[in-house]
Amino acid sequence: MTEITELSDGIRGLLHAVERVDEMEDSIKLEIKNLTKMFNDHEGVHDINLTVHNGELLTLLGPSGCGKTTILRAIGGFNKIQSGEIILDGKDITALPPEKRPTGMVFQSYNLWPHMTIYENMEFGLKLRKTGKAERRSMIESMLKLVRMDGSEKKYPGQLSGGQQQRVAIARALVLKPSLLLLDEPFSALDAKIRAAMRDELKRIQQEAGLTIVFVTHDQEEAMALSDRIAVMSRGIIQQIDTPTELYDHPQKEFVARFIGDMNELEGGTGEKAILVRPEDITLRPDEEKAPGALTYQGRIIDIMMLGHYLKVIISTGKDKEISAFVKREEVGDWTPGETIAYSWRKRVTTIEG
Amino acid sequence: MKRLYYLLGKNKFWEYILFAVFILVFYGPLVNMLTLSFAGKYNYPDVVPKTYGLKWWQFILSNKNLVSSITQSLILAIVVTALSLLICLPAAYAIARFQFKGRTLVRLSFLLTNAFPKMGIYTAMAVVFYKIHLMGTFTGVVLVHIVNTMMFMVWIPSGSFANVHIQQEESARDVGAGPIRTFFHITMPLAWPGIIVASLYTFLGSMEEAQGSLLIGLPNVHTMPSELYGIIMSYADTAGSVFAVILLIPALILLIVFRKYLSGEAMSKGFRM
Ligand SMILES: Nc1ncnc2c1ncn2[C@@H]1O[C@H](COP(=O)(O)OP(=O)(O)O)[C@@H](O)[C@H]1O
Ligand SMILES: [Mg+2]
Repeated sequence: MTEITELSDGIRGLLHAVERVDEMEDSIKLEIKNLTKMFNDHEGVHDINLTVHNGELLTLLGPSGCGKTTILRAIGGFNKIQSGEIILDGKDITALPPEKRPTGMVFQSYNLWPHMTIYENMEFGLKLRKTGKAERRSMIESMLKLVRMDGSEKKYPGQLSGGQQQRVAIARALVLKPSLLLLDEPFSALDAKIRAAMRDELKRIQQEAGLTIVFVTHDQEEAMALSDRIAVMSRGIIQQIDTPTELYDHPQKEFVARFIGDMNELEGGTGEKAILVRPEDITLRPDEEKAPGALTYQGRIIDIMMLGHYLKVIISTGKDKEISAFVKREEVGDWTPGETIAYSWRKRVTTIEG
Repeated sequence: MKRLYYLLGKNKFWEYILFAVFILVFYGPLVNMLTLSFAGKYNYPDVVPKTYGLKWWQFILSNKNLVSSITQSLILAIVVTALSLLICLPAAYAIARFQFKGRTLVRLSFLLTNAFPKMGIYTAMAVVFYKIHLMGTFTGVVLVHIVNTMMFMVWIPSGSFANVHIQQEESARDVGAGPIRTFFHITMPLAWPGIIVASLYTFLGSMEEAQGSLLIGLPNVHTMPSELYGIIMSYADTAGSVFAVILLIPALILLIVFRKYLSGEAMSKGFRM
């Protein structure tokens, strides 16, 4: 009998331990409460609330000028905020200057100091922390290896490509073991191909080093590919914070619905708002057959693009209005641009408010 | 000549001719001065001396007043440059970085120091200096020289500071450097070309400044250029040449040491505001 209670106690203890680990992983890294930073009456960010968990990559996404950088700079200590609190690892860092904050920041460009070699760039912060010479060397070498830039120690920033410079900038921030990494459109100055490669690279580095990252971008594809969660912003406020899938499937606001992924706008019934439909939820039928569904519409095919598995069909639905539909190849007849076609929707996106 | 013309091609040919003229106009007098300074016997209208020797060098270097004026000028130039850096660099940085009311006014006020006729400014300064007992003092001359080159000392470094990207400074703050360390480790080194050009300009300007030094400095402060007036008037141009060559030496040394910073690019960046 006692043996059994002992055993069950043991199991209970074990379960407790497991729960604690769960809690640890889910614990809060950064908390922003009611942050307001207005540059003037209408520019800035207003009443921002945001929580970032340990090991998470959270993206601030929104059109240019919506206030992403303002928030990121406030976290890094580069913006004096008017009100609100920033709590990192349970400590209030709101009043600290950048040099006292355990954050690491990488800007869009001009991160590196051109008068120092890559090694000296990396060493600068370590020296300030009084790290020993031998330790500095090994830390710098392993960090450059992590970003695949080993061997560039003696080069000057001017001798590296844009992508390489950004890798070094990330390495320079990481070598100081920041509690939180802040990236402000770090890849947007690079060309499309390198940008995609850098994305994968960042994801790998984040997982290898177990980093918590706040990432800023205006590119929704980049955000969808990288993020654990995305905070979609517009005009100085956060519209919705969710996982990429949730944002795509259940956008709460029309702005989010339109900003994330491709979106078509179909005419609603009389007195009704526009109907938002994803391209993959459009059904096409030859004109004579009429497409099944709640409402059927007519349009003229403008273009048919081959995207591998799918075809993207662009349809003109009136003057200056277009929709696009993703259709499986076997569903497409011998349609040609110029032809009239019937379409309807299978599934619409409904938002809570406009 | 024709052969040369076709050998070099049309453009190159004229380039060379222009270069030759340039050399003659700019370096001709210098070479002439150098030869004259090593003259032994020399009569005025001749181009080259009849005999050579170190006679005039001995004459200058054995003259106590002249030698002390050389030291005086060197010390003066060093003090002026150092003080000018101390005063003007912060102003230059502020103009480059901070958006404040009256920024344009501040910038233009530095221009004004060079827009008025020099003699007018010196006279005005002299009036004030009389009252506060700075006439005939080293401090007085230092002040005159600083006013003289202030505009360049603010404008050129300011242009260089403006060319340092804010992200480069902010990155330094981010990795743990305070504002002062950031300025000396990141901003200053990146703005070196402008700072050095401006310092050279100030140093050499102070070395050769005569009007203000004469007006404010005499009778107690004797600088090289003010002594040079006396020499040219009372001795043959040979002694003057020696003195002029001596005046040139610091300029040459500085230009050689800092030549890599003296690109046209660095200069033009300084004036782009
Ligand atoms: N230093 C500043 N002074 C005045 N207005 C600013 C300043 N920085 C940003 N703004 C304004 O605040 C808004 C948000 O800017 P920002 O955060 O940089 O946007 P984003 O990074 O999303 O493109 C913009 O309208 C911008 O013009
Ligand atoms: Mg931005």
